[in-house]
Amino acid sequence: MDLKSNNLMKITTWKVVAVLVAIFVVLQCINEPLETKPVTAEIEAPAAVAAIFERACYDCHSNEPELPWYNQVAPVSWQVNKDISRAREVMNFSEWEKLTKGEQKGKLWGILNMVKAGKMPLERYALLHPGARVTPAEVETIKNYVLSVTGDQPADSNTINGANKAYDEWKGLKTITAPVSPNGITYSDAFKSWKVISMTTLYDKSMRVIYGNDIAVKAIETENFHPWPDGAAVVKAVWEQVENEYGEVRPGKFINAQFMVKDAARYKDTEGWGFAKFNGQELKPTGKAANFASISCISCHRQLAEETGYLFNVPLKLNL
Amino acid sequence: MKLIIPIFVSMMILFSCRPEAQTSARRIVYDAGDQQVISHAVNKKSATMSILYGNAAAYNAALAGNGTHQPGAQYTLVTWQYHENPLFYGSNINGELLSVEKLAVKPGKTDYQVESGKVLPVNGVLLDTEKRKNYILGYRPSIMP
Repeated sequence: MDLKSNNLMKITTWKVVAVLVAIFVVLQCINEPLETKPVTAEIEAPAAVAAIFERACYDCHSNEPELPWYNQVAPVSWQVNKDISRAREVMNFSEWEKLTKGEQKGKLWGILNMVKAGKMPLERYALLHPGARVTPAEVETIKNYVLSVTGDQPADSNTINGANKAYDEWKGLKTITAPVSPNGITYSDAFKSWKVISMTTLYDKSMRVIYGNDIAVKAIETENFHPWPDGAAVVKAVWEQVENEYGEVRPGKFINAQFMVKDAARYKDTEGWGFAKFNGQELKPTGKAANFASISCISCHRQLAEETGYLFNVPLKLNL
Repeated sequence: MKLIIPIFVSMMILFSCRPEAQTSARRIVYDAGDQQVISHAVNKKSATMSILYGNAAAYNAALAGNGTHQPGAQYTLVTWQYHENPLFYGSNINGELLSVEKLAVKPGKTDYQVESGKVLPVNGVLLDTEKRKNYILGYRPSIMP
């Protein structure tokens, strides 16, 4: 190689470096910093539990992230900020007390299941932040806390009286005009003639009957979950638990009906499932915008129920 | 030495093509025919769950709740053992089918039979046939808008 071509190469290298530096600088100029929000309604939990949440969850699920500086350098920051925004939408410890007591309990059981199954913290986060991993002993601490907050308590007279009042109201009700979820799913009581695919209780606080249409039943019987066929529909009806004179638990107040409708093309952001929830006897739809399920429902279904095509309540596989 | 490669290849074929172990494990959906859900119950003492199905006459009688049961009303009470849901800690889900009881209201009498399985005690007491009939006929429909 002669002197002339050697000099040319050096100049070219410097030019490339200069361009890369320029691009890097420009990237920083268009780098939108992570939105800072105040801590308005932080979760109130025992110190040992709060310490686990702060160490393992707060970087993404609070308004107080303590991330190393390089997380805010573009282009890394783009992904980090997107992840944090999404995580805050799903669950935010800094705005916890804004949730209803019922929503808080639901989130706590979600948290417990996520850490118990090793799905949270996310693996890609834990690889860079190994200190955030939750140990089995810490999972036990969270479990004991969740049980203490939401555990089994017998229904009191208010629950029983409320159930009786609700029953009388329901019997006197005329047909309700079919409510529509923000994503276009319309309530229909056609599911009452579908087969029951399973029955469940949750946290010893609610009881559910889950119905499936013919397409869903066939998919279950043939283990056709990846993906579920379009047109499959599942409806879960949920009630409070009320104890009767036989020492059994029977359905009390109607809580909600939850729909999952499979349409791969229509519900791309939620693994092909359209979610809808109709609450109370007036069947008030959940969600303000059409994408409500992509920031709430799907998170748990995606992380914990992948093996059954994102449904929690398919019948157990039994040896016959 | 010459045999090593053929043996290795044969072993690869043998193990890679072996079909998955056949298992009879299945997911079962109970078929209640033309009957619909009237209500359901959970018995925590026996870890069982039950669904009471009925035809239209049975449902209407349960809804009226006045103890009058018209001939033609048919009920099916299905009971399962429940287990912790493997997909969600804190949730129980029905599993093995334990019993199917049938009740048919006829003029002047009510036929009751255990179609399959064995009926379990309620509150520690195994109900006699008459009490069991009353237990089944006493279900109030679940609120279902």
